[in-house]
Amino acid sequence: MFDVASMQISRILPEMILIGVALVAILMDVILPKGKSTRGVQGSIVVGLIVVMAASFFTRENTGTAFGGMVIVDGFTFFFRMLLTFVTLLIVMVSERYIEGLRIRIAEYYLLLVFSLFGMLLMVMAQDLLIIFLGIETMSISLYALVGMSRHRQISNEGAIKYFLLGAFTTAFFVYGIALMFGVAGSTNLVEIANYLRGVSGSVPMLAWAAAGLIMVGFAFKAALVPFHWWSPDAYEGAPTTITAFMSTAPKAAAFAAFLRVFYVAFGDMSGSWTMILWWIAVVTMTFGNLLALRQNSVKRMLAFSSITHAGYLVVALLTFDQMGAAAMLFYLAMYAMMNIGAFLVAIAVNKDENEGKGYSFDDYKGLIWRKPWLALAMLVFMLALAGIPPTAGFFGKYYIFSAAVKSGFVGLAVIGVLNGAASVYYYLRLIVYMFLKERDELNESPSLNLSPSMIQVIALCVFLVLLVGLFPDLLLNFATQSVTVLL
Amino acid sequence: MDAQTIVFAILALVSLFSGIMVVTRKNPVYSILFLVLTFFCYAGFYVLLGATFLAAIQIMVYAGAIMVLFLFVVMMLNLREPEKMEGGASFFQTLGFIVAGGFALVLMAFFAGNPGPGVPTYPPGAAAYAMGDTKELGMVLFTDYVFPFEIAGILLLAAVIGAVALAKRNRA
Repeated sequence: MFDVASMQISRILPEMILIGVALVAILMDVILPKGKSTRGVQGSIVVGLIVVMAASFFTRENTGTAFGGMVIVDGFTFFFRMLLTFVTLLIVMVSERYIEGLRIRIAEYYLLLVFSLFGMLLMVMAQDLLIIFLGIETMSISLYALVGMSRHRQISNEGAIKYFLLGAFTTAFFVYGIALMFGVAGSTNLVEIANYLRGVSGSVPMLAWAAAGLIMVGFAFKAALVPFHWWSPDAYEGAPTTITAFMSTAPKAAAFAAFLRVFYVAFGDMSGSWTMILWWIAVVTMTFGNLLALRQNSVKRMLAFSSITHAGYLVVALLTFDQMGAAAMLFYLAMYAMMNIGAFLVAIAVNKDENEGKGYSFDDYKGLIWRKPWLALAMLVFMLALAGIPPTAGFFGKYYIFSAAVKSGFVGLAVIGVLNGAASVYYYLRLIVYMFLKERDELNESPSLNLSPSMIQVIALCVFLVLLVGLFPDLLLNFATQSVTVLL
Repeated sequence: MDAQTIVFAILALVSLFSGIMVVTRKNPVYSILFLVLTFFCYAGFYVLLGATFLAAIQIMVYAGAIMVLFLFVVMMLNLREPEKMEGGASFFQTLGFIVAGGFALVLMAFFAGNPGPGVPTYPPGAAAYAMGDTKELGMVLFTDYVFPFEIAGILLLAAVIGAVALAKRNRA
């Protein structure tokens, strides 16, 4: 009969703590007096997220499945628990001043961040398509609201409604895929789907192909891969910039993590075909993202479009279908999060006027080295990292991905990837030229920068991590390699 | 041909007809009413499969609550003269038609062929057949599926907070 102990509830301790934190924060918002509630909510969430990271760290040995195989906690889960919680923590720390400037309801902003983190944690530990679906939905619904948080800006509403409509639509695809897979394999559990596919190897029913294709569409949308990227420029531009930084890193990492687990564990026996499809998706994603980013005159849009290109590199890592590629993907996701958040924070600091709708111009960066040398140097590090130039972590990220691709026999793809990397140098370097070589334009400069002490700390931390991993890449690569051994 | 097959055929034809009507009507109110009819047919399918509880939910939630919301929104927007579609179908409409049609063909080819070894078939009287029973459903929901069930609760909480954040007036 039914046995509570067999559910292994202790394995989801970090997630339970996270929900506890969210509930406490909701109460804080209601109970505390008006002036103090924001601080209380933010403080409790910062402390809570640190506790969640500590809990994941100290329970990392407690691996195995929970809830009858619906959830699996392993090294892979641990890696993403730490990464996603850390990214959310950074965003929560830096948001306050910027968000207040946008007249956004701040308590709900933090709460929705926590709920979307909860959804992402479900995605990375799910071993059942049902849980992945619920995780994706929890994450996405929070994100839809976050994108539209600055309600008085039309661009924000537009981004949110587009993201919501297209997201709801792709959810239908994803669920349809799950339903068809259940119809074929008789289960939504990844391991049982894998067993079924191994059993019928060679004669996989057509319906299973359709199911895998629909599930792939769902993931491709969440990871903003071409041709399922149409929502991303509008959503990224309309969202408050802290949320853009968040969306282009954490949810993308969670989507790739679930993508990887589903296709490696469940659809591993069909890999010959889906790697071919992903090959094309990788090529168009890398190229298309670059072509769009080349033409942008807004730093925010440039970073948003280039994040599509970076998703293309990650697909290259994904489709190698071996340990080296998977480890390279984890490495890249972690370091990309650091450099992208850093770059977006500098963009927030330099931006003149958010409400004008014309902000984030390259012109604002003219002669930044003379105005704010440290900020310009930090941005230099982030741009070099994004372009993949040593001695930053971005170089090793690309290096590992493309060497994994070559090792798995995707030489042509690696060549296309390297060429795209070279093309992307153009627009990252352009910003560096503006900062270091252009004359300072004192008449049009904003008198002060949008910097708060916590932003300076986080920017410094990102620079430190990007350079540290750039000099000692083995630190992170060993961790990433250990994390993926459980999958292959 | 037994009674079940006849009922199924009638339901299938009506749902197909009303489904086509949903997408071809110019007046959104008619579209919604045909959508209600489609949902009723689905409820009929559930009854045929023995999932009586699901059928009741289908009628109460989808045909009832959600469709009323739809109608309410359409009437609030007050679209008296629906805008006319310009010219023929656009490139993307044609492409969408081809992709959707191709997918439908794949599904038909599959089901016309063999249902596959994995498709669970529930003979009447089998334990799984009792899934339509509310008591059985409750038991499964709070034991095997308790984790997804709890997550759904959190998902709804997130949605409520998001809706409040977007809709509530700023306290200034």
